[in-house]
Amino acid sequence: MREKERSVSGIEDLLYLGGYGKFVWPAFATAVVVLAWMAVSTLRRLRANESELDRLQEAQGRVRRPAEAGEEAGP
Amino acid sequence: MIHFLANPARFMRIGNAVLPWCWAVAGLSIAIGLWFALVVSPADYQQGESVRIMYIHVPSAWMALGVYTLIAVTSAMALVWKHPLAHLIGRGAAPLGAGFTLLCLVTGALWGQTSWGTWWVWDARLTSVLVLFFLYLGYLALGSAFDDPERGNRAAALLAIVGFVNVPIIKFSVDWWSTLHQPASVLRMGGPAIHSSMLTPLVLMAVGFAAYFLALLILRVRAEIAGRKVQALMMALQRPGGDGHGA
Repeated sequence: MREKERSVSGIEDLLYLGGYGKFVWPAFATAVVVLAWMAVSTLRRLRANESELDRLQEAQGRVRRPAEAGEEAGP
Repeated sequence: MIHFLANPARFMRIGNAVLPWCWAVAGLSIAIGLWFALVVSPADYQQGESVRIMYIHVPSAWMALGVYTLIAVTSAMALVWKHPLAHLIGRGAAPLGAGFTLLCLVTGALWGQTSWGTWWVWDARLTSVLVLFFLYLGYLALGSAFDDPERGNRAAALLAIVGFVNVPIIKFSVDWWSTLHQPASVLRMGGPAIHSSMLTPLVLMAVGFAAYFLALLILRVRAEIAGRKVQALMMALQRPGGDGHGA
């Protein structure tokens, strides 16, 4: 029981940080948000560009195939 | 080495091989660094527990300066040697560098409030870092401001090279002018003036941030290469009777 109380007080101490918790934790939270934004925006851009590239390459294949067929059928 | 990596296919092959290692180093360094930063390292005798903001603030400041230097170097390479990848690396790195600069400014304001009693002062260090943030935004805006992407890339590269003058100004601002901001305590002549119990988490977080940046940069360059191919295919398909040849 006493050990549990001590661990709760340890967490409270960590959150309070001698009165500086209200400055330290927002700093670490900002780091989490900014680093997460970097990853999310990178992955979204990568996915958008690669799926657009796949779509266009498919469209290019569709355009090229009739053209090639036309060349073969030509005189 | 630089010329060797300038080939996009080679860069991507090496980048894909390095990527898992970057994630591993980033994850491990940041996890162990956080443990040291929040639990193991002591409070400062003057600043108390607020010193823990340093473990985010200082590595993000180093990244802000390092990433801008990388962009200036690749911009010079793009203009001088016309390396196909140089603009793409700059464009991939800029949003990440802007993110680190923003993180540096926000954590600096929080730390400033505890140490100086103010969120912001227009002193040389803080103002020059704010200018760095605007340089990042200007680089990104200029790169997308032209219909012809090549013209945008050239204009942005010129801005990055001219704006590089701000990097030594930031570094030495605390020596050249009287500022509220403290002088360098790690990267200085005569070695670090900081105890190993604080230097360890600082270095771990810096290594973690650098590895995280490198991993995201590889993915961003991959996205930029795909974007470049998309532009070429669009132009080929829009040509009258265009069949995409030469894309």
